[in-house]
Amino acid sequence: MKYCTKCGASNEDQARFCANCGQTMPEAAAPSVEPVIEPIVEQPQAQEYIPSQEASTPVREDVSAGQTGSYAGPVYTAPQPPVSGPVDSTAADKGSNPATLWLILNIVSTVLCCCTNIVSIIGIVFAALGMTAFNKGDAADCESKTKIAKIMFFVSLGFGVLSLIIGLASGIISSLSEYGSFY
Amino acid sequence: MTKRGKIAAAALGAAAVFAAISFLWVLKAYPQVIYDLPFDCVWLTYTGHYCAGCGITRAVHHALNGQFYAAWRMNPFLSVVLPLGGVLLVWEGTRRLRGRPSIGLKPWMGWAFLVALVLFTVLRNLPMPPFCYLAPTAVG
Repeated sequence: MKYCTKCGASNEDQARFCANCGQTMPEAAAPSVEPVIEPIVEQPQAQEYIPSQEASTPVREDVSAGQTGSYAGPVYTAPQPPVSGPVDSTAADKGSNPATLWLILNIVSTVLCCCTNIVSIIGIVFAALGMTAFNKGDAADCESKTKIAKIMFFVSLGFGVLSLIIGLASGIISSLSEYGSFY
Repeated sequence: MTKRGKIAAAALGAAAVFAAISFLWVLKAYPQVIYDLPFDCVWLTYTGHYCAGCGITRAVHHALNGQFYAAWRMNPFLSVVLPLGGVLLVWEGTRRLRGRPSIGLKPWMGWAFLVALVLFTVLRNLPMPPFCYLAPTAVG
């Protein structure tokens, strides 16, 4: 009787491959009385070893040909890819929220461009939603909402500046015609 | 950003700064430009109510002349929000230019501003004191 170096299943002495896992069996048969497996030494690709047994521990007495599926020897875990969750916690921790600037700008434009403050209010709403999306780690949603907030700001600013220019020009003309000069 | 883009951005920025300074100078020096506008606010004319921004131009004029109480009485809410917004804007802009993280504003602050804006608009149109003191009032 010899034992597979990969899965620990018992095989016939003449077996060239493991009946359980297909691993190539060593040519020399292991001693049948007190067989020793050395899976740790022979498998350098193993990533994580749970030290339930030492490498030199003799094979358990209850491992036999009929129990190949219930082998409870050393446990190996396959290499796992790095887990990437939906939340980009690195970006959130940095606090580099792109919507913050547009929230402030829309608040200021709400104040200054009161003729078009409904546009700025929409901008504030989308900037706040963009900040929330950023905090949740949804970068695409944050970007789309920030873009809308940005557009709202520029629309508000454009109309606000236009109305101020018209208002001031009208005021200057009115003042000049009424007083002749400013003083 | 390309070299041409940087030049365009710099030119646009310089023009904006020049326009802002010119505008503030007109507001500071020529109050009759504000008070003698040939038309009234469309919102005020047709609804008879003050909007949240009513009085902000006169408030800026008073503030630029150092009359902060008069500015406060014209629009108390925006007399606070405007300087605060300016400070936040410079702060955030500076951090961005230096490549540092944003200032710690939270989304609820945006919602809180909107609620305060609506609340202020409603309250300043109530005819009884103390709310009527929130309406644009000329002092001095």
